[in-house]
Amino acid sequence: MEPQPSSDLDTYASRYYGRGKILRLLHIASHSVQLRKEALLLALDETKAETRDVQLYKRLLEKLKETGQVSILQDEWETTVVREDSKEVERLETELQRYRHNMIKDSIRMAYGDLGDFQYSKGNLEEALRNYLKMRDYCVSSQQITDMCLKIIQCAIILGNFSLVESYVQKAEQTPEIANDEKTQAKLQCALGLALLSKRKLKAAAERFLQVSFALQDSFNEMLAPEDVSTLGAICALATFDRKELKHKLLDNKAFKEFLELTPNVRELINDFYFCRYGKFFERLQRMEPDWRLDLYFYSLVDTVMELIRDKALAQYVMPYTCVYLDEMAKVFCTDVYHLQNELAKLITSHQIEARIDSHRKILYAKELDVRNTSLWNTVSQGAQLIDQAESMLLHIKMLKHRLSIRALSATEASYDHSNCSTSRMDLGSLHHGE
Amino acid sequence: MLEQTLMDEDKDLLLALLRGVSVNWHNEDFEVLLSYFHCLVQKLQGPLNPIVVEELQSLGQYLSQKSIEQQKVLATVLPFRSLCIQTADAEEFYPRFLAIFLKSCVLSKSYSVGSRFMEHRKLILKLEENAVDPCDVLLTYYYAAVIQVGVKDYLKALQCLKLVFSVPSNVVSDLAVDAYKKYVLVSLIAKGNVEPLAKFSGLFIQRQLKNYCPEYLALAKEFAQRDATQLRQVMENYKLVFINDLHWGLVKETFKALLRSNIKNLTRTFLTLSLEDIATKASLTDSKEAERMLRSMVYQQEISAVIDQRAQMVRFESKNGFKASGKSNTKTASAVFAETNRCLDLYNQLFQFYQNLLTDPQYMFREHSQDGEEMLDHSFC
Repeated sequence: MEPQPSSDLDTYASRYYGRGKILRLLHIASHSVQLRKEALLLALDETKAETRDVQLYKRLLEKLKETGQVSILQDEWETTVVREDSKEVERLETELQRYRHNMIKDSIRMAYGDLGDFQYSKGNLEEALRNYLKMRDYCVSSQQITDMCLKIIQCAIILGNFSLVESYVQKAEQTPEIANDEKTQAKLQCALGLALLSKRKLKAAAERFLQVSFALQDSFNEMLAPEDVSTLGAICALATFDRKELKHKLLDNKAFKEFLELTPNVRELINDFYFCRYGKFFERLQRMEPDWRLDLYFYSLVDTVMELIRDKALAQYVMPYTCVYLDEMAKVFCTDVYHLQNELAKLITSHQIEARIDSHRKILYAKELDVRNTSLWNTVSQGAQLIDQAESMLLHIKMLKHRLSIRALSATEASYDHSNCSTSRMDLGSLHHGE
Repeated sequence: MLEQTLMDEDKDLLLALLRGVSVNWHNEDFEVLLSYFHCLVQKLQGPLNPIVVEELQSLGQYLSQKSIEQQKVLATVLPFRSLCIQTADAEEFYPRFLAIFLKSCVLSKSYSVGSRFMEHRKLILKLEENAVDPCDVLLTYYYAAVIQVGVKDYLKALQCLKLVFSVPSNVVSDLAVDAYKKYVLVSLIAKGNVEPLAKFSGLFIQRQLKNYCPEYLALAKEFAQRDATQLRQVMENYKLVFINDLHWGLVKETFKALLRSNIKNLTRTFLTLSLEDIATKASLTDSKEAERMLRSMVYQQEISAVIDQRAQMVRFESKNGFKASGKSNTKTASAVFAETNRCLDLYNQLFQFYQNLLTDPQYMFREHSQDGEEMLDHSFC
């Protein structure tokens, strides 16, 4: 089913700016047919306003034509930009050459930065990254290192190179004056959170987002708006934290509450989950899901997160009971008994719930654990494993002690080439008769 | 004449004579030769003279080959069994004798004889002799594993196969490859996953072996998904490979093991379940097959369940109360007792090894030379 956002696209898009905003709008255009035209028009406007990317502009025009939008004509913007660009690049390169000739470190750094910014706005992201990386040799102060790292991080996020993001976040965090700069710290936490999300490390990502200071404001809006920090942090926490962590790290987190104020829906969702109001919780969750499916950095994780949240809710629901009627539980979880039974069976198999299902009477019974017997069995199996290993090791040592080992060339074996590897061959023809 | 001479004290000479005779022996007289050999073996008493052992080894090897040529392997089982027992020195067996005995058990399909032999004894090998061939050690554990597979004692087979990889080796032999293929299948049947090999097996061996059996690893990967239909698909895809390796029987057992394991999982998850649901969840064809499978598992005490044919429902719990999974307190106690005994045996082996080490001249020399070097260093300081 095609995702439909809860708010209008203009409001959503107004949270972001620059290349990040364009990427988000392109993502929406490719994932929602209904919003395709509107998203492309907004992306076109943003391209003209914030970038000098002629290629992107042309691509967007082509896509708009595919949607049937024929009224837009190529305007002066393209020719103006192309004319100006050739002069600008020449100027920047001449400046750089001059500074390099004069060996003025600070100016060289700035010239590389300007050239990088120019390439970034033109859409030559690889070239921009190369220029930003060259700044590294000419950085002297902590502030300069941090600025350089942030430029690289931003460019790497757009390129989807998240391992570079991680390494430059670490580099920036090691600068001595970072502790005093709350805003930069917040940006770094956001960037690392995104990198962890891309690696599907939801818990680590949640912890990073929950540490973001509200001093971030709209300073990182090209990549992440404060509303995103709130949503991503809360949802990942919901999916991966246990009850205790949820209370301690999320609900009692005064700094994060400010972010939650920006997204009342997410705040209520957390409260509904924590206070076990499952009906309202799932209703709200279903309303919010389409928004997440249109998010550039979160869409691929939505199914996993929804599954994790549902599993946690099911486990939390049955925890206080010795027996539960599946009919009633199915109503709470907006499903039918058959599907609920399958979901519960999966949770029992993965040991998230200690219970057994009476499929005949549709009742779930909590399992009485015989801790003594179970731990004895665990001990026995661990012991057996250890004994097996010890016996094998003893044989190995004994043979080594007597200098006995299978070698490539021995009297009883003829060596031959087996998949380019020297091996010893034994006559197995007779061995196989026995089976 | 031979009978009489065997009573004499000078057995070394007689053995040499017997071997010499055997070279020119006619094929039709093989059984007579075997009976003389059996007679000779029964009169042996350890510890034996190394020359006698060497002669017996050559003779045993010769008889083993002849028996295969003449398709009379079954006749060699008992003589070789006696050979192992009579030549054993303080419960330690000569690897060559054990290897040819177990081989004759495998070739004649006398799995129960081999299994009973191993049930009452520990396969501790005598490695002190200079004439020991490491291949015999490898073969001993390999044949032992095949026998245990033959009697469907997969846990013991797994341990024997682990011992095959414990033999120090710097090459990948055909035997090791075949043993690894068996190891994958047996491990899936007995444990439900492929257990990692011991660290000291050598990284070279561990890495290389996997390259030789991609079909088996594909099977193991599918087994881990617990989907019987997919597993059957993989089986069909690589059927020819499995048949050529003579592992098709084991592969089919693996499939059955998955079905059984799926049903066991259901006993842990459900109290009652309809036969139809069991068939669906365990990927069985229909409720009839589910009923048949459950019946067999209940008979074999793998699970505890009662089947209500009228309602087509199954209740997974014994009348006595505890655990459908079969882990009763009595069973736990007996398992603990068995493992304790194994621990004690192992302790004795380790203690014996330690004592041998203390009296080992090479070890003592090294220890003393180290002391000497240390003293020398101190004196320089």
